[in-house]
Amino acid sequence: MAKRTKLAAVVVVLFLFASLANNAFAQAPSAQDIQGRYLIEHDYRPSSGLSRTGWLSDYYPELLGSPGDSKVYYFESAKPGGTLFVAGGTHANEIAGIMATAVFIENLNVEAGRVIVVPNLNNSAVSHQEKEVGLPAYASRGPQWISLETPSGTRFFKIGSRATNKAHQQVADPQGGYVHPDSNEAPLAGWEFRNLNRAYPGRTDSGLTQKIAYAVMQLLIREKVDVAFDYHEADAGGRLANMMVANPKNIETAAAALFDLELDYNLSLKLEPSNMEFRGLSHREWGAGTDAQSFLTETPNPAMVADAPEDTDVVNDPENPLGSRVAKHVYATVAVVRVYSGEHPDKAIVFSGLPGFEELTANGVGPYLQ
Amino acid sequence: MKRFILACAFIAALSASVFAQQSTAFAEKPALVTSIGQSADFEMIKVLLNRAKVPYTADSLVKAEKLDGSAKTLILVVGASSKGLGAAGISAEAELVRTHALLKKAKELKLSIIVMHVGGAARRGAMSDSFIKPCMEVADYAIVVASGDEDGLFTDLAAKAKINLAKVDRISAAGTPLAASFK
Repeated sequence: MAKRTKLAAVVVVLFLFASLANNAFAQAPSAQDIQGRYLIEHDYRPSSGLSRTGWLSDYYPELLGSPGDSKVYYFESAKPGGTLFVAGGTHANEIAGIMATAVFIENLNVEAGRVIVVPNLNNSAVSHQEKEVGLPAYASRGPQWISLETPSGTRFFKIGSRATNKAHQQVADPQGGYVHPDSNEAPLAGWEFRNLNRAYPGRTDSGLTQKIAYAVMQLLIREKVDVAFDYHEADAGGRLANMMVANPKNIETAAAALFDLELDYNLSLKLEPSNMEFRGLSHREWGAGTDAQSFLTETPNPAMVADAPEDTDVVNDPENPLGSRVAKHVYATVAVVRVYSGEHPDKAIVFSGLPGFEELTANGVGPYLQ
Repeated sequence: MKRFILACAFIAALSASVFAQQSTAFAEKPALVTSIGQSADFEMIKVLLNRAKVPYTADSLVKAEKLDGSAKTLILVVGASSKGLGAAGISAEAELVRTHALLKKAKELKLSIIVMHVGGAARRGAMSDSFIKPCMEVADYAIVVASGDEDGLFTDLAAKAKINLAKVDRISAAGTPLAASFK
């Protein structure tokens, strides 16, 4: 009897402990670090070339503690040169852009100048895949994460939505549609208010998306960025897929780089200049509002085709596997940087360590992560 | 030996397919390059000319009145972009009017005219074709990326105009026949 009582007491104590622990974890600010930063634990494992990390909120402190804050990775050489900025995750469903920045983060060694990488430019958009009324199906289609086999085992990377989480925006989508404050164009759908790539140069008196855009502009200005890339994906087979969009001020750099891509890697990308009347897009506003030469690359994502099934495989698609899409982003950037450095020897940006174009295309991304 | 003969035959066949279209250099320098349809292909051709070291001036919206004979060869980068037309602030109709006037003046001045269509299949369609046809009628030579001629439009137009047509597999390969056409 005493033995049974003891056993029961142990079970009760264990149960109480488990309940308390569970409660404590539930109440703990597990999504924040000790500085109050809102965190999504992305699994990026930087190369030894990493100099330091920072945050978007370093450029606009009001983002601190908000779901719009995001980690910034700096790779800096002692040898002076220019500054390259590369961003993924403007649209968190466009996974090749995010993984292209991961390839930079995990392999980069900068020999002249600096490279600044933000893998999840809209970190709020990573937090959800809502099927919102009015939001196109492709904007939040696909798995919540991808898994890749890497030298250190299986690793997972988060996929999200094209738009900022509605619960984070803090300002409701405008009824009657979204009009960029500097635009004379017809209203876009209301959810476009939460599209980071319609929000530049951003505002401090509006929703979270506009504040993220403002912080990015401040980063580009304060860090004196010379070349800036925004990685995107588009529907495979659509007009935008396999394209580089360049601000008109640097379209000649883009054209020269695209020639080199054809000659060096047998890779043909289309070229378009920014439409200067269509406001809010990164390549248009970064180029106009900062000194940076600005570029956007689009790769073909099979999950973004209009009638693609919900379980589309965005990693092992036979026509456009992830490795091939990542290679296009990475080597479009490499080609532009080479042209830029050739034309601006005093601001050359030189780096090494990246996997080769053919290797990435043939073997996928996993073998080239830590 | 057999391999060597085969290799020679292959090279000869390849050379024939690329260069038989224009065996002698005919165009004089300098060139004036313009866009017909306002696509970004215009920028790509500028890079080609730079790398081929062909002296040129570039004006994507040049009007007939500006042609004064200082340029000896007119390079028309043909292909429509509705975004490009919008950004340039010109309608497709106005672009076509500019094109016709430009072609007329170029013929009066006896300029050599080279048509370049390097955007492939993506740069075809009703609007692009409306620019392609009048340009091909007066051209002396045309260089096209082959995927833009899958329906044989350029082949037919070149035959009608009795001009040579160089087909290349990609933009970067267009530099060789372009450079070879200049004296």
